[in-house]
Amino acid sequence: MIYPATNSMLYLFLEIITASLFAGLLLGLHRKVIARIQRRPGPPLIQYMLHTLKFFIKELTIPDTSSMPLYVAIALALAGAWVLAFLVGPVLLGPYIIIIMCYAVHKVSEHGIGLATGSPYAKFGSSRAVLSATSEMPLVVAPALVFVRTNSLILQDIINYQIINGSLVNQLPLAALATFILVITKTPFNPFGIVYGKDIISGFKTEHFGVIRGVLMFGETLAFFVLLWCFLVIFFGGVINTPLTILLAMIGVTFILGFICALTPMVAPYHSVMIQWIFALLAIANVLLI
Amino acid sequence: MIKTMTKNRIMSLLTSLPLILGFILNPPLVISIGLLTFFIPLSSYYIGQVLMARPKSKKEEEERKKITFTGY
Amino acid sequence: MPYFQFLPHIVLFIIGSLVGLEASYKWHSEPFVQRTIEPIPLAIAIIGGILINIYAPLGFLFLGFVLGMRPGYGFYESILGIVLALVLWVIL
Repeated sequence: MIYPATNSMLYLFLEIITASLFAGLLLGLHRKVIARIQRRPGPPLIQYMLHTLKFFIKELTIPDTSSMPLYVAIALALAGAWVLAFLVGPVLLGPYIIIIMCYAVHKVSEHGIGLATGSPYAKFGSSRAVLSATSEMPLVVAPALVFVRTNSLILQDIINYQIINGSLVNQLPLAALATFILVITKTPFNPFGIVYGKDIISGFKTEHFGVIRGVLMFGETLAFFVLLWCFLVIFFGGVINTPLTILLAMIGVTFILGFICALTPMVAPYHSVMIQWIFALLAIANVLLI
Repeated sequence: MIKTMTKNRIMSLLTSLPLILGFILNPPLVISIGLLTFFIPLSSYYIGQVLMARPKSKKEEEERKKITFTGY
Repeated sequence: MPYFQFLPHIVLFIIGSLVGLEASYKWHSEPFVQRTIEPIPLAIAIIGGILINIYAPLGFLFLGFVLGMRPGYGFYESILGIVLALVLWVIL
């Protein structure tokens, strides 16, 4: 196989294609694990990817109540933000802070996607997105602790530090736990997923179908890949630092996530926020312990 | 209907053109990141619009109207 | 990091799963009854398990066929194929 030159645009594009396909398979595996635990045969592994592709050829109608440019633009912004986060983080090993910024854009987009439709169900979803945004403390606490250890938030430096000094999970176990909670909140059917709860139909995505839903799901697959990657590389970077080990470890973590999502009930919105705050506080306590 | 279809077709060409040009010309890293971030969602949106509006074949129309029951 | 070196593996796996899904729905259009080991998927799984150690993308194509079969079918066959692949990988 002929490899394109590193940092050429074709290289970056192929990386995006690979990551979205692989994360689509991972999300299919996640559903399969949940189904097996609940003693169902479950859908095939490629089901999530087929859903994503299906939406690209489905008819798109725009509701009368929606505010039109925003309705499309903010869904595209979500996908664009994760493309940026993926290129800066997993591909180029750049600053971690940009991934956090993209995560913030994701949260704002969730809110905007719900509001732009004008549907009451979507508005419930978007107001819950604001509520769950208050619980993103682990996202901020964990990098701060990592910075205290490594004196850098460039991902390449963090990996190099861990290759010399051993994985950060040994030094900051509770911060790793908090980041793991963050990864859980981004998987489908998770206990903290108040935004996607079935009690409000499909949350903020209720009125998004057709092409826009396809683009949204593409963004979410990339988001799953990026967050899993961040968790693995920042806390287990001493062992997991080549593409093969990263992809294998992602399959392993997806198994664990499947078990968690299958065996836990959905918590109430306020409890979800409280539980995530407890884990963030535990991560802060990590500083006092070491 | 025809008017919106042609508009979507032109827009899908226009939005995927920067990506194709980028693959050929190899711009600097910052520019290529910017192009990918902006134009991948946009071009996929317009390409999806074009795919959605494709004329349905006779077989697809029949499939749509047929009542299927396979026993599940 | 060059993840796209695994692009052929992933794409061939997906193609294999799609073909497997279509084929197994052709073979079994009846409601799901019971699990038995069938000869054709078993042969494909064994070929996949051997090929994955010689040229990995092709092996993924064959294993994807078995793994991607209709829900409930091809379960034991795929486990056999994966175990065979692991055993061969340890031996070689």
